[in-house]
Amino acid sequence: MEGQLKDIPLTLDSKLVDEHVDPFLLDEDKLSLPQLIKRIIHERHPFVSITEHDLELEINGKDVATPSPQSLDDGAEGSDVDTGPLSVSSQNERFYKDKNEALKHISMALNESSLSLDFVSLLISCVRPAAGTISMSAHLKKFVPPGSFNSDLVQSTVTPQAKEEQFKEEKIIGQGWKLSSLEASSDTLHNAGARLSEEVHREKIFWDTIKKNFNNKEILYKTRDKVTGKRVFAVKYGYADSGSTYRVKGSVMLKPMDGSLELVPIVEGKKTVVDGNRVVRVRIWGKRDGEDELIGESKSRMDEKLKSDGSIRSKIEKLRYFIFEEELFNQLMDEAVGLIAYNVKIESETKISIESHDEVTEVEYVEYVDEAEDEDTSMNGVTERSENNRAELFATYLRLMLTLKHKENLESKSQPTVLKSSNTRTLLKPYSLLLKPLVGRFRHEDAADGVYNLLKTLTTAESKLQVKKYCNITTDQLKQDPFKKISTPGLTAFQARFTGALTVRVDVDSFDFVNYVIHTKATFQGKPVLSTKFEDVAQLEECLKWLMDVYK
Amino acid sequence: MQAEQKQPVDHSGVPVEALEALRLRLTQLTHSLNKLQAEFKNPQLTHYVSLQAQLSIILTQLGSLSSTLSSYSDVLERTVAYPLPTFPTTEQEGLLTTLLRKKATPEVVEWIEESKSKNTDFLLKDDEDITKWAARCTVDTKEKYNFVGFKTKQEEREANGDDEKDVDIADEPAASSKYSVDQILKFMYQGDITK
Repeated sequence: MEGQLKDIPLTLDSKLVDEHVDPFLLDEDKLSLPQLIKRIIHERHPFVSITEHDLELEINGKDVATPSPQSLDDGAEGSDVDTGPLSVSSQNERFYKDKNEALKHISMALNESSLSLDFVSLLISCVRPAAGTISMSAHLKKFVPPGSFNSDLVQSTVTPQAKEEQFKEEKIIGQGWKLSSLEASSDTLHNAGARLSEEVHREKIFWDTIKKNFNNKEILYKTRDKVTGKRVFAVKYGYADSGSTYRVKGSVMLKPMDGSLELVPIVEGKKTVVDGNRVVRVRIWGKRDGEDELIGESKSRMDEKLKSDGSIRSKIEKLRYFIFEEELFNQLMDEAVGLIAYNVKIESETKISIESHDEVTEVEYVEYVDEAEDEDTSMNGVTERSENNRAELFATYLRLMLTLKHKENLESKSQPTVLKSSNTRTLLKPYSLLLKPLVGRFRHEDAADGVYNLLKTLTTAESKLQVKKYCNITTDQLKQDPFKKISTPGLTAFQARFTGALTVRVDVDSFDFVNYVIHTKATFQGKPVLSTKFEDVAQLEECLKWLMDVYK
Repeated sequence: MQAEQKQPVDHSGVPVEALEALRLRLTQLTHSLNKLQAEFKNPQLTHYVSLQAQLSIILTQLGSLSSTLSSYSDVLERTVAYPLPTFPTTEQEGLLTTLLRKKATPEVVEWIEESKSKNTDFLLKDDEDITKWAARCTVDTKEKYNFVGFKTKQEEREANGDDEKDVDIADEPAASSKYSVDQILKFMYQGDITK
C-alpha cells in the first residue's frame, strides 16, 4: 500500500487551477455596478419582482449554521416564488441538494480528521505537553488533562500466512477502489466528451442554418433576448437601412430551438410586427348607368422564390414582402387624409377610393391569397377584366414610388444638411409623395380635356389647334430622371388660331399637383390683347366667346 | 493502586516521531477541511476554480497523510494506546470511547464492502501499470485538444507551420539584402544611397 499511494496522482491539473484563467468568467468580487445589476437581473429577474420579504426568507434560510436540506429548499423556492421558470427552480434545487451532499461529506471528513488529531495530540501530550496542547481541540482541552494517555509497544506475532492474508485483503480493497475510481473517471470523461460533442453538434446546426439561410446581403446583428437574457442573433428584414422611415423597423430574433432556428419578432414599442399576410390591391370600378362595375383588378402575387418551403430564408423574404406592403398602405393612408378635398376618400381602415368623373379607383389592403392554392379566385377574379392591366400598372406605380421615396430618403441622409428656406425644401422633395402626384395628374388630365374640348368646339376646321403636353419638361430632363414627369406638376399648353388674326394660347398649369390655373393670352394681328388667368373652364369659355366676338 | 500512581509513568512506548509527523499532517488537513467547510456554508458562492484548488490541496494532504501512516505502519501497528488514571474516565466515557475507536465508520465499512464486492478474486499483478496507463492515456488525449481559446490544436499546428514558412521567406531577402539599416535610414532622410 505504501508505494501505491505515492504513485497515484491525486492532484488536479495545475493548469486548470492556476494558469488557466477563463476569460469568460468574471471575478464576482470585482464586478462593476452596471455588471452587477445585469447579473442580478439575470439571476433574480427584474427588481420589480424582488421583494424584501423574499430576500429575508432566503437569507434566513441560508444563514442557519448547519443548514438542513429543508430550509435550503425553502430559500431556493423563496427566490423563485413568482417569476422563476420551472427549470431554474429545479436547477436550483438540484444545486442545493448537491451542495448539501458535498457539505455532508466535508463535515464528516473534518470530524474524522479532528478526532484523529485530538487522539494524536493527546497521546503526544504525555511526552511533549506543549506541542500536544497546541493542536488539541477546545473541547478536549476543557475536559481532559494533557498527558492522560499512554501507549506501549506490544510484540505481536503474526504468522506469515496471516500477513499474506492481510496483504491480500488490503490489495483487494485497494484494487476495488482503484477500479471504481477508474470507472468514475472514465464515466466523467465520457460524459464530458458526449456533452461537448453534443454542444458542437448543436453549434454546427446553428451555424449551418445561418450559413445556408443568410448571404452577405442580410443584416445579422447581435442582441439580447429580453425574456431569457441570452445573447442571440437577430435579422433586420425591414427597409430601414434602405431609407424607409416606417415606424416598424422589422427585426426578428433567431432563437435556437431543439436543433432548429425559430423566428421571434422583436418587440418595438406598441406596434410590434407586420400584421400578417396583407397586400395592397387596386380595383377600378367603371360608372355605367349609375351602377358601378368592376372593370379592373390588380393581382396579388409574390415572387416564385417567396413560395414557402419552410426555410428561414423564405420566411424572412415573406416578412420583408409584407412589411413593404404594410408600409405602402400606411403611407397611402397618411396622404389620403390630406387629399379629401380632391375626391380621395378613406372608406375604411383598409380602403381608400379615388373618384374621377367616370370611374372609381379603390386601393385596398387585403389578405393575401395564394393563387396557387386558390385557383378559383384567380380564374374568376383577375383574368377576365378589361382594365386589369391598368389596375396592375396602378399598383406597380405605387410600389415603385415607395421605393423612390426610400431612395430619396437615403440620398438626403447622405447629403450634408444645408440650410435652406422651408419653401425651397418642400419643393425639392417631391418624391415624398405617392398619391398626390397621381391624383394631381388625374385632375390635370380632366382639366386639359375640358380645355381641349372647349377649344375644339370653338375652332373651326380651317383654324389650327396645337396641343403640347408636359411643356415644362425637356427631353433631356426626362432622360436624366425617369420620374421627372410624375414629380413635376403638369403643364399643358394649347395654341389655337381662330378665323381672322386672333391667336389664343391657353396653359393649364397644375402648380401644386392638385390645383390648377388656366393662363390665357390672346394676340390680335401680332399685338397682345389679353393676358389673364382663370380658375375653371367655364370662365375660360366665357372669355373666349367674348374675344371671338370682339376680334372677328 | 496508590503505589502505581506515584510511580513515574513510563512513556518510552509512545512513538513520538511517528505521532509528531502525523500531528503535523493532521493539523494541516484539519485546517484545510475547516476552511472548505466554512466556504461551503457561506451563502455567497465561492468561485469553482478556488474550490477546486482547495480540493486539490486537501487531496495532496490526504496523500501525504496516508504515506506517513504507511511509513510508520510497523510502529503504529504494534502500539496500543490506553488512558492513564488521570483521564476522567467516568465523566468522559463517551469521549474516551470515541478517541479510542478503531472500527471504521459505517460509511467507510460500506465503502470497503463495496470495493470488495467489485473486486474479482484474483489479484492483478500489474494493476499499478493499468492505473499508470490510464493516467498517461488521459494526459495524452488531453494534449491532443485545445480547451481554451478559439483555435483547435490542428489549426494551431497548421498556423505554426505557416509561420515557419513565413519566417523562412522573410529570412531570405534579409540575407540577400543589398543595403544596411543605416543606408536605408539615410535614404529615407536624405534621399541618396552611398555605396
